[in-house]
Amino acid sequence: MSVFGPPERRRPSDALRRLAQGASDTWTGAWSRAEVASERVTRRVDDLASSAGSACSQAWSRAWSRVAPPPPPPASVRGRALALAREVTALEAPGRPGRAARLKARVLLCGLLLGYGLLAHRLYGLQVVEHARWSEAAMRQHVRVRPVPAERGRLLVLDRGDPSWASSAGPGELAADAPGAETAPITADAGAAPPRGEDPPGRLVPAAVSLGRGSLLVEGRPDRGPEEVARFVDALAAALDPSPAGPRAGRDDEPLSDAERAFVVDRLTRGRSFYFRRRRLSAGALDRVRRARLRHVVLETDAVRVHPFGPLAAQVLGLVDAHGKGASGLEALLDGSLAGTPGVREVRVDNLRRERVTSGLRFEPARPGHDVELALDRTIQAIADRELAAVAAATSPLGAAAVVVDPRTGDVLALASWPPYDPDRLEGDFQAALRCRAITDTYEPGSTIKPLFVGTAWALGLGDPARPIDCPLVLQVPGRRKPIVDSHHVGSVDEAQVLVESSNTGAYRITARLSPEQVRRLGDGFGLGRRTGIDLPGEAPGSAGALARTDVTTVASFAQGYAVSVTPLQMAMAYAALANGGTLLRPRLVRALRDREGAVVRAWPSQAVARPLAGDVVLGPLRQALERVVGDAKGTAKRARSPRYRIAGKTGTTKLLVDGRYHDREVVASFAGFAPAEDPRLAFCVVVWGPSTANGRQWGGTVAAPAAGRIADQALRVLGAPPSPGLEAGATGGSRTAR
Amino acid sequence: MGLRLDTRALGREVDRYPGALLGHCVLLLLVSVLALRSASLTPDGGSLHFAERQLGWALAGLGCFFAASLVPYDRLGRRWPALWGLGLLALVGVLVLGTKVNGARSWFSLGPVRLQPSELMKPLLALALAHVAARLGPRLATFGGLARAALVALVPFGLVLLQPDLGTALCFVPISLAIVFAGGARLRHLLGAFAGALACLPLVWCFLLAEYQKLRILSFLDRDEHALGGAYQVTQSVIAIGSGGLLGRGAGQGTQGPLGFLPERHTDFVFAVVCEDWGLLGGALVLGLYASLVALLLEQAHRTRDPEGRGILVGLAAVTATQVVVNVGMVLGVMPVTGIPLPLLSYGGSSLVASMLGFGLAASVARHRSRVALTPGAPREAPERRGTGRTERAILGA
Repeated sequence: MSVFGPPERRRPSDALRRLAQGASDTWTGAWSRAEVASERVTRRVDDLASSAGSACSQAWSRAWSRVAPPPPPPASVRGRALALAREVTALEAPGRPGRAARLKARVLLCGLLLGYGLLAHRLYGLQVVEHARWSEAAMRQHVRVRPVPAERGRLLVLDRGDPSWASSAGPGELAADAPGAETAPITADAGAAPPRGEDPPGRLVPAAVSLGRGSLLVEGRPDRGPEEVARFVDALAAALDPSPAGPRAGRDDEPLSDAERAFVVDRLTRGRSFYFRRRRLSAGALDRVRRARLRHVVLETDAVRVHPFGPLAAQVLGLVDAHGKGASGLEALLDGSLAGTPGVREVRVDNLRRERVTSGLRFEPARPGHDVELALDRTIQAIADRELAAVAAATSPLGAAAVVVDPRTGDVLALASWPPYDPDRLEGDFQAALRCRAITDTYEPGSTIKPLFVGTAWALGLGDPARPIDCPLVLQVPGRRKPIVDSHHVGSVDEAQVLVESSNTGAYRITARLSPEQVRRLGDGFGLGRRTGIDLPGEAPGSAGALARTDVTTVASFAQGYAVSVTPLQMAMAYAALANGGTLLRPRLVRALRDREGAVVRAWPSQAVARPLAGDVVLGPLRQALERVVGDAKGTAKRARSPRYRIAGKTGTTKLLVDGRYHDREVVASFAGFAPAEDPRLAFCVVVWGPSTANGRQWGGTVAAPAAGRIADQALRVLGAPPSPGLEAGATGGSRTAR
Repeated sequence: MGLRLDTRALGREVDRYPGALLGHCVLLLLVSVLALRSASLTPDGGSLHFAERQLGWALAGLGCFFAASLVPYDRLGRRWPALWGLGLLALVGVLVLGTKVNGARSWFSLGPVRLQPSELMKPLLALALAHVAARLGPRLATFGGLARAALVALVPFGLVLLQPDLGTALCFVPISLAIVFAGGARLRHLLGAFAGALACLPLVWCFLLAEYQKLRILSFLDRDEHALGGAYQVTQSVIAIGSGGLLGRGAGQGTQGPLGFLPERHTDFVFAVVCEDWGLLGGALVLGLYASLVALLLEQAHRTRDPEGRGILVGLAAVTATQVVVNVGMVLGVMPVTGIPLPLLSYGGSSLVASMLGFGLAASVARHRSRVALTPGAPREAPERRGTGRTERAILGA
């Protein structure tokens, strides 16, 4: 039907009808013509549509089925013969396809059909039958599985505030603006972590934290002119230059060096594609580069382990390697807990392996690692570090170590080693500084072992601090080739004075009262020559094998602290046992694991290992004797005296073992003790290997004791311990300067 | 009523107008613009550059189609020496003045557009050869007549080979073969020529084929061996097609094209884009359109009584069918890589315009064949018409 309706229907009103009738002559003619034309057009459109839609089948069937109309019957024999000839030779009249022409058309069509059929078959094979295979091939090309790095847990140390008097510069300078220091602090006793006694609560601050630091990747393009190269390099240098942001803005930011500049210019001018990597950009530099909008520069962030306190306790915390895996110290030991679980991210890459839009692909977020709460006190550790540095500056020793523990819980408050290193700037010969000497290096304890024997003897009733004893200068022991020699003549004194003046002969006489079994049990009970089980890798056991061999010679060596080797930590734990009334504790370095929110995942309680001595002796006569070592005018450790606190302890000086032989001049100077004597809150041990003897002989009392005294004094003030009775809080001078 | 429309005449015009042919062309051009829209996507987002330009060329091509369809083909045919000569002149000119693209000197650079005379030679060759074959008539069945007809084809063939553009040159072969075959050449002559060509193959391999062409054939024979080398393009196109699946990934949603894995995706491998975006459905539809188009041309040829018109139609049908089979076969990995574009679908102005000119010529045959047929024996029995120049006489041996 036409798209135009009959004209009448369109004129319902009379007026209109009259009008239409008036113009009907012309209109009807026009309408009829238009109708004819439009019908034709519609028919054509229909034809067009149908032929377009089903053209293939229609055309093919027509082509196949269409046979030329049969030729009109020939009129004559001549005509019939002509027709036959035409058919045979295919040289017929135009427009009359004969058998040959039909054959040709069929050949062409068959070829065509075959070709298209093969193509269609192949298309079906690829897209339907092998679809999975090719889809997978496509995925292999453009989908890459990238790991999402998990954020590494932090190592948290305790921060009890920053006392004003302790803010002087030192290796453990408290860098308040150090990166990572701004991370949210956690109250130390939050959650179910083991309580810290009556010590002032602090907050936990990170000592090692993983920060996203930027790396810069310059993609070289071969299509740059010299001016563009120059402009680019200038912009890059300006973005990397840290000077406008102040000196501390980024510890790792360095301006573009001349060599780097030459490298970049060279590569860009030669049109080489290259990568220029700059790692460890600070947030500021990252931001500047981003704002510079440099073309062909890709910014990436990757985690860099940052130590806000620099060298503080670096040997304990340890290092991570380039892949973010713990390589030493706690980082290595607790790697499993710190590392977390990496996630998975699928990205789409183009043919040049550049990442593209990643929406709609698999993404599994990473689970961050646990934070580790350490027992270390940031300030006490800094104090120990600083005092060791001071000792080292004065005597340039081979090495030094200081341990401060809490005798009530076994918490390791400080574990210092000299020489130190800065984990954020490993340069030069830092290998020797990586050792945590307090647990890896052993020494012969010397006189610091004497209180253990003497105390045991007193506890067993084999002696009494008030009983007189004669200490000759030289004592020849039957069966021993070398005599026992004192440094000075002590003479006839009470037994407590043996410790005060550190008499070797007296100590031997008291020790000789013990039975071999008692000696062996004693060494065992105080943990000498046995690993303490601290949470650090590489702890040395020392050696107490000779304790089982209790001949006269060996006992004589024991009494002087030879023939047995210990670590500074072992000695500190033994003195902690003397301080707490006779219980040997396991040193506790790791207090708890916490999750990101600060909740405790796992906590380690304080753990007793052995109870070598009964409390009454230790807390009474032995403590008083050790107090006199520091407080007595003749005491060997009088330089450890503190104006505020009574410090108890014992000095030790042994010959330095070099390649299995005793050095004739070099010594190991040590001091072990606890404080305050009346209510011990700290036990400590300071060991200095090979202090310089250029200014005369060195002793434990001249090298180790002053440092130990200063460490104890300051650490107790950090803990807020009240001054010992009888000592004025504000008293100055005193024993620190007195000889 | 001076403006009265002669609807009856218009209806006759519309009646005679090969609408199905036009419909096919328009549909294919539409597919082309849509596919090129996808192919223009790059990893960086891309532009609509190719799609827009192709749309412009498509409009120009439609104009050419109408223009060609309005001119009676037999009048054009009578002037074939001039047209053929112009084509040859252009082919010689391009060897001297042309721009080298992808190793072949086959382009005239005219400002923003580039013209490829070898593409335009295709419809010209069909026109010329059809006329010559029709004039030769029964003589085509003799070897001498066939050789004369072959001369018309061999000259442009050789010139294009000199560029060197083997793919386009090979397109002349189906045109010529189909026209002389339909015109009455003997199969055994053709087979003899074919055998001769086959015998020349070792020579061709040694002297004519460039190193990259040999590599293409070798990599076709062992695709896995050359998966990242010579067969990289085909491997990528097979992956793109196979990952398209039954219904495809949707227009522009593919990965292999937009992420840059599929090479030459707007020209020779545009069919792979179609198959990735629209799957088997789209691929089969496009193949069907081509098959239907070729069948349509053949059917028109069947209806045409005038041998010249029939020759033109058969030649065009043959070249279209061959290009489709060779191109799609290459994209599907069943044929070696040759630089033959997909008519109307591949990006390229010269190819599109040449194809549309050819189809316009076919439309002209469809429109004018009855008039030509009603003039009994017109092309054949008027050898002394003014169109018969020296060239024609020389070739026809008149």
